[in-house]
Amino acid sequence: MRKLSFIIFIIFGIVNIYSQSPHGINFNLECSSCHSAESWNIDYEKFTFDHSTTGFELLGVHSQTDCKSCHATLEFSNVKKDCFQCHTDVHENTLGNDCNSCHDFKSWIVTNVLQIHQFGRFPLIGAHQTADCNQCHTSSSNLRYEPIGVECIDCHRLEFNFAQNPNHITSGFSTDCTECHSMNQSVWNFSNFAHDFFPLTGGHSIGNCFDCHSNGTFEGLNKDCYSCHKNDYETTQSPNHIEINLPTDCSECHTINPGWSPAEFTRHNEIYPLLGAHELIKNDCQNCHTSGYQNTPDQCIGCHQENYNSTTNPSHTQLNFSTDCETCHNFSAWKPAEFDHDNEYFPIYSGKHSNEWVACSDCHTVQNNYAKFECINCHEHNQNSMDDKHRGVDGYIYSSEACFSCHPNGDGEGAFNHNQSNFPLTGAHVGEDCSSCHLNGYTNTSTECFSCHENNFNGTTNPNHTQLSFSNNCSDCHNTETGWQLTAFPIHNNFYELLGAHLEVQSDCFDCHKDDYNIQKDICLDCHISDFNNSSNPNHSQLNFSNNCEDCHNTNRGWELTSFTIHSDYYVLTGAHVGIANNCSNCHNNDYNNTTNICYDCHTTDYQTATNPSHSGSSFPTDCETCHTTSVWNPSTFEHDGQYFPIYSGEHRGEWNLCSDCHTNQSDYGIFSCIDCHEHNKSEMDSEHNGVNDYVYSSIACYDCHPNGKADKFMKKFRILK
Amino acid sequence: MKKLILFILLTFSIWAQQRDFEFVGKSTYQSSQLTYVRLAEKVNLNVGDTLYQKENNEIIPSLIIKYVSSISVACERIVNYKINEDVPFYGFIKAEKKENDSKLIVDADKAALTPVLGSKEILNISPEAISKSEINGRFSISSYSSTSNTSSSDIQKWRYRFSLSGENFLDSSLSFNSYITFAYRADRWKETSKELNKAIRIYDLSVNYKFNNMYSITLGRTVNRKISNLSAIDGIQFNANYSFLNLGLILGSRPNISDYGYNFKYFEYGFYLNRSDKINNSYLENTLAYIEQTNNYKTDRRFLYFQHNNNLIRNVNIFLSSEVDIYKREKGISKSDFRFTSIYASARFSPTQWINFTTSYDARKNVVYYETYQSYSDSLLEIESRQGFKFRTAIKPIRYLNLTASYGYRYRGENYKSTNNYSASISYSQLPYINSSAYVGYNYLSTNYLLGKIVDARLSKYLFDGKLNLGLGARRIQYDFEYSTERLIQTNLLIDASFNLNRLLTASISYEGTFEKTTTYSRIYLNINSRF
Repeated sequence: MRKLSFIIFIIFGIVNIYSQSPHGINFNLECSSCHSAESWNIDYEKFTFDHSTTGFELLGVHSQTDCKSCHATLEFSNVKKDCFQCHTDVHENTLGNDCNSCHDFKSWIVTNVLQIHQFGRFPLIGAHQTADCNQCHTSSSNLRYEPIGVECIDCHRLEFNFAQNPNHITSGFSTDCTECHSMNQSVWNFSNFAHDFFPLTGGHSIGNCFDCHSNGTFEGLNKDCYSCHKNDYETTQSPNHIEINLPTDCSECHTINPGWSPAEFTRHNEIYPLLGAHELIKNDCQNCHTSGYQNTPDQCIGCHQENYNSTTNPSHTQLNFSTDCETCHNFSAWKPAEFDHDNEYFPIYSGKHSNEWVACSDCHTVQNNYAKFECINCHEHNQNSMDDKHRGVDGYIYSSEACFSCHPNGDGEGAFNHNQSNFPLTGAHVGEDCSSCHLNGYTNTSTECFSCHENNFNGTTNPNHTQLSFSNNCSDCHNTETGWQLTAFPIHNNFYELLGAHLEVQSDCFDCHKDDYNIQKDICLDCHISDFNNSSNPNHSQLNFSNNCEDCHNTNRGWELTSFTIHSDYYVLTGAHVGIANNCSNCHNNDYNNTTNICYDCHTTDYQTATNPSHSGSSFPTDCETCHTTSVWNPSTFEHDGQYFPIYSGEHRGEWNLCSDCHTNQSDYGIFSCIDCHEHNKSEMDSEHNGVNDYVYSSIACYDCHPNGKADKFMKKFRILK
Repeated sequence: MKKLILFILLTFSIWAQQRDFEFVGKSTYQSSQLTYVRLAEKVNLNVGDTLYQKENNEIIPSLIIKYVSSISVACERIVNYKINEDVPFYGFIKAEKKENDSKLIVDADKAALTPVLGSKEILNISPEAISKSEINGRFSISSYSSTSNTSSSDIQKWRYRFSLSGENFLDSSLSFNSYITFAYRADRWKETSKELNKAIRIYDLSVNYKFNNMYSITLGRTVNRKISNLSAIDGIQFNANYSFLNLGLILGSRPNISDYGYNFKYFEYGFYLNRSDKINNSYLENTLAYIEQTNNYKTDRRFLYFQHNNNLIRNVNIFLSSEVDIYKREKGISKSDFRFTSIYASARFSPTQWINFTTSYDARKNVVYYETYQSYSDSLLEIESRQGFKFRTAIKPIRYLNLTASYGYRYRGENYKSTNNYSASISYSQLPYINSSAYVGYNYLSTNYLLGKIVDARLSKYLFDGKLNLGLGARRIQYDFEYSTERLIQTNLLIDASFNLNRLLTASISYEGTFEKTTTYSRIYLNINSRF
């Protein structure tokens, strides 16, 4: 019964709540999820409601908090979900309202400081990891987080200002601390000082900044070794760096290891190359520099005298071997020695000279210089015998060097014959001493003239080959004949082009040069002054012609006239004269001295043979220019109308056919007739001039009264008046 | 038997018949101001009606009805003694009961009756109105230790927190709040012991008296949550509540800038106006404050504070706050100014329960107190503002699974490289078999001086019915520095345990270790928290 009543109560209670719930609309939770039958009070031990179903899971402290701390009303849906809506912002609004970005639900204590900074501008590293928050985030409440700079100096200004060792301000340090200090350090002290720009390792691992920063400044020290180690450089005696002019870049030889050692002298090869076995001991300087680095011998024997003396196979001393070890040995080892006398020099262990000698000095008569040898001192090679044997051999001389040069194998067979070589001896070369050309032995002797005759070339002054930049290929101009006879001078045109008559004398250098090749003669008159002075047709000097022959002549033989540009100075060639300007003889008739400048003098024939009209018959003036120009004879400029009587105009135009119609005397055009015309018969004229005083029937009278050929009114009037 | 009686009472409450002088109901809650009486049945009572108790056959007028709902009434007490619960009240009921179509509810925040159209009866009762005298306290001890194998600056810090608050103290209208900390570094105890006051921070030490539901006054030091950016206020704060309007007056001083102590030369005053509106199921709240702060009664700072938040758009919460300084002193000359000192805006959009987007923008400049910082106020003014932008989205595609992605951007002037922060995480709160939560995250950051790549993994588990929570995590961090080729690799190890011994006592220990090539850093947090 009790159970039944309880069930009924529960059912009724639920129904009742649905109808009167204080928790708001749509609140469908069973009362028993939170309440018990004993009381409406919440028993948190029996509390079964899963708050996560609301979308706000109760975690941490929230799970222990009284409901009403958040639910200000019984209508649970009317709740503020944002942190700041329930919790006072003790950070005074300096961090926003998203509490979750730093805090969790367990407590207000922030345990993930590192992570918070990793999501911000300043991840904590180095000493910042152990720093107290309030060392950077200073505020009186310790909870206000104003924006602070993330540059070191923003927080560490005091450390910068008060740093004394070194004093950052007086040293002019940058306020960018990271230039010297690493953020990933715990302390500022020297051991952690980031001197990365100049690593303080090796000998530089010193505890006192002022050893280098001696002038109290920490800014801009020169990183060159010498700038600090100048004194070390200058006072070092072994070796004396200054004397042997060692570089001031210490790093070329030294590392930064303390004590300046080990040093590596990389420039040793510039002074003495360390090759072969020497290279192996290059780091054991004392092996060679036993008495310091001054005056160390650079000859093998200087160090290896003992080796030389003690060698027995062969005994260098007994055989008087050269003390120039390099003759036989290389730098790698004493053995094997590479001395192969037969193949490299001269067969003495084989061939004809085998067993013909006892000691090296038999041939190498100059001890300590095995490059010197003698062939002719041997009893078999006396000069008379040799002279006989070599009779007719080009270039033969009786000398050891000559012997060797022709008989490099010590054998008469296959001896060298210069004429069969690529440099046969000709001309002046025949009979010259071998050594004149083979100054440095017989091999690789140049066949170029210049290689031997460079001095001749340079010493030649007539002409000066060097100044004139002549080719040093002597054969271009010379052959081997004695006296450097000139055989050709193909570059003459480089200096003076040989043309015309000059080509004909090109081989006769003397003609022009007179044995002096230095005087410059590129002006015609230099050579042809007499031609100029002696010229008579015309007389060049009298006429004061230009002495530049090229103005009128070319180089062709005969002084052919090519142009006479100054003709106008004497007679201007115009008109038809221009057309015959190049045909001088037309006018000058090979006499250039007496040529007239009067037309008639040349054109007399033309005047006399002119028939229409006949000039001579008509007694025309001989001044042709009166009627003619120099262009052509016709048309002439004779004007009958204006000058004499209008026959081409006026009354008489068209009234005549021939000049002879009026000029009845053909031999004298000054005579004319008016009255002979059929229109001017006497009876009619008499009739027309009836009453005219002084009228006579004659041509002269006609012309006097009618100079225009007109019976004009004036004349009539004049007649009347008369 | 009790259940049976209760059953009968409930039944009675529903079907009881009305009488002229009838049993009305019993008191259910009492607040400092009101006594709530649940009606045994729907009766025709009105505001101003008197309810009576019967004592020794005497009818004693005890309550005057101030507010009426369909199932209860809230009354002012006439008697000056505490009324026992379960005391029946009687009243003169009009013979004819009348159903009121317009239902009434009590607004929780404003404790004012508001007519609501609806078919269901709802009664929301303010906890302030229904709570009894209640005192809550909290005491905690926490330790923070930071050590390293290379540093000589290892520290160990103790922090004691004490808070005590009382609502309706001794059933009066008086409440009080306190929140005090005492913190010091162990290695500096000697110095601290000589100046204990510098180690003490009083964040709240205040009493509040409510004259009635409209007016209240607070004395002492407290942070006003309406203008929390103002820091704590030492003095008098008067609050007037007019329906949806809230007006506050402030007169006092701000804490000493050096040790957060009391210093009345930092006199300040101001007011704020808050308006809260409910529009359908949405809210809209705006606060505007004017504050003048002084130093030796000379203007130190004068500013406006504006705060706004709403959820007018469905599933969108918007928050905005801004400080605008309106006073400036330049080269000793004071003038009015308009300078944004801070702006903070955030928005959260939750279209569904399984996804949300949050974004925020903030820009802050240093607060300039012209009188207090007069030697370097000009340089403070020149400092560029720090601006930040954050975006975060959280997706919960299935139960227990959470995916997040976020982007943060910080900017401080042209001379500094901006900071970009990209992160993403996956967490699952109920791993099968081990019933644990797992978290994996990745963070890429690019700051003014380094590039960082951080991989984070954590595992946590509740044991003993949730009383113990264990956490284990590790982070792999790679930093590449801008100014050198140095690369720093760090490994973080995180271990934490928190105990909820009971609802009143919790303890936690947390270890955060950083391991580098040769260096190790450790942080250890201990905390014991007791509530009473």
